[in-house]
Amino acid sequence: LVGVLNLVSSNAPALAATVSKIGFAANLINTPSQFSGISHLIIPGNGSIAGVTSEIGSVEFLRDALLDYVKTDRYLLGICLGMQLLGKTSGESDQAQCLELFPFSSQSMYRNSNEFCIPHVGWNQVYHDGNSLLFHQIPSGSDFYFSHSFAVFDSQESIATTKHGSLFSSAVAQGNLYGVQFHPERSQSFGAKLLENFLNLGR
Amino acid sequence: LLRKRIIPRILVKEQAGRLIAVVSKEFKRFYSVGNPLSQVKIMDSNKADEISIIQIGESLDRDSSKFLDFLELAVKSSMTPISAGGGVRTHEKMRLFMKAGIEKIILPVNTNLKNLKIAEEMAFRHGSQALQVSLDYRLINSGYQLKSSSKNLNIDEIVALLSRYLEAGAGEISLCNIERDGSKSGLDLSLFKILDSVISVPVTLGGGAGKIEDFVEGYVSGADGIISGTYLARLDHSLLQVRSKIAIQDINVRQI
Repeated sequence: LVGVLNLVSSNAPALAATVSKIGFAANLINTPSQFSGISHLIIPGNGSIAGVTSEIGSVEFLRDALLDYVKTDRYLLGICLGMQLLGKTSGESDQAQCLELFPFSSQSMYRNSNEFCIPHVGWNQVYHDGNSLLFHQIPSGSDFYFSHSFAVFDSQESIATTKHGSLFSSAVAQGNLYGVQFHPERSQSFGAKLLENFLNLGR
Repeated sequence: LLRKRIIPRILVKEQAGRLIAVVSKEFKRFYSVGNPLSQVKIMDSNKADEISIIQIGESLDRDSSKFLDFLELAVKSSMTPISAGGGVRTHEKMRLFMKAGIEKIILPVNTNLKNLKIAEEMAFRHGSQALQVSLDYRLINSGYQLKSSSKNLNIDEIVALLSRYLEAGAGEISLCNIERDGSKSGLDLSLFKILDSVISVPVTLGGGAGKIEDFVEGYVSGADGIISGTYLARLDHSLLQVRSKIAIQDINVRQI
């Protein structure tokens, strides 16, 4: 069963609709009890890191439920801000309590580029070595849609990179946990393929 | 490398109780091009890089519920990034637009700065990348006039005005010479060439693209994206062909 974390500032309903369109029924997750039976969870990425972490903190036991969920070897995909949320800290806000599932921290892209426009908005190429099932049948160098000002630059868990000024991690993986900096739900056919690949993991 | 964007614009107007998609001439005269949701689906299947949707006309002042329902359906029935604006005059309206699931909201640059607080809240809650401000202008003898005001502005005043919105957190600027709107007479690059050096966020240009060369000229001048309503909506050939014709001019657009 597929779950989409229904954060207020996010596009969860639209993402759930996309997931249904590619052939998987999706449940919107609002409370800890709704994690039961979910095998593939998606954390959508819109809003600000401070807003998202405070929202997760404000629903009773939601943060604990998320952390319990990943302990049970089920699959998780964080999209954009949802990927940054999986890290240790975010340069966007000192107060934000990230989930600390990955050792990376996201940082402002300003520091790393002067001649490139920030925010990084639009289609850019994602390069990968072909070893991850997430990119099954997606050629390295395919274009995906990005929309962000913060990024992960130094992750050991990186499985794909993209260049905008400097190289950053456009996808990360560790066990059953995945994160992508781009928006697969807005990336047309390759985006649909990537979501399908994720939802087929373990099947 | 980040690709140059081809951005079809869909203007949506309420007529006799239902929504229609239109193209405009100088934002004054409107011509129907059909059902707005069909237009979104066409642009999505033709692999637009982004779809820009603007609500126009009287319906702005009412609750926009028809438009918001349409927007939600547009997001759900496509896998293309959607930006939308038109009539976002309250914080509540801004929240409702974002709730529809769009990627970006479009706010106009106003000389009276009335929507600056909305811009600030938008950037704070959703991030700069979700806020585009549009500067819709006409050239007059002594400088510029914005669509929303009859005040004459010089270039310093334009820069000062834009700076306020950038400080508020705008993550993208779209420039449109409204006299060129619907004219197919080519983009006006004069203001962009002056502003380019002072703006560090992406810039998209609109108003007047009427042939492949207009797109090429805009991209070569440094525009990140080109917005086109009339040319892409009424064209007999598709956006896919427009894309490939732009690509063979050595412009870094996405290859489909």
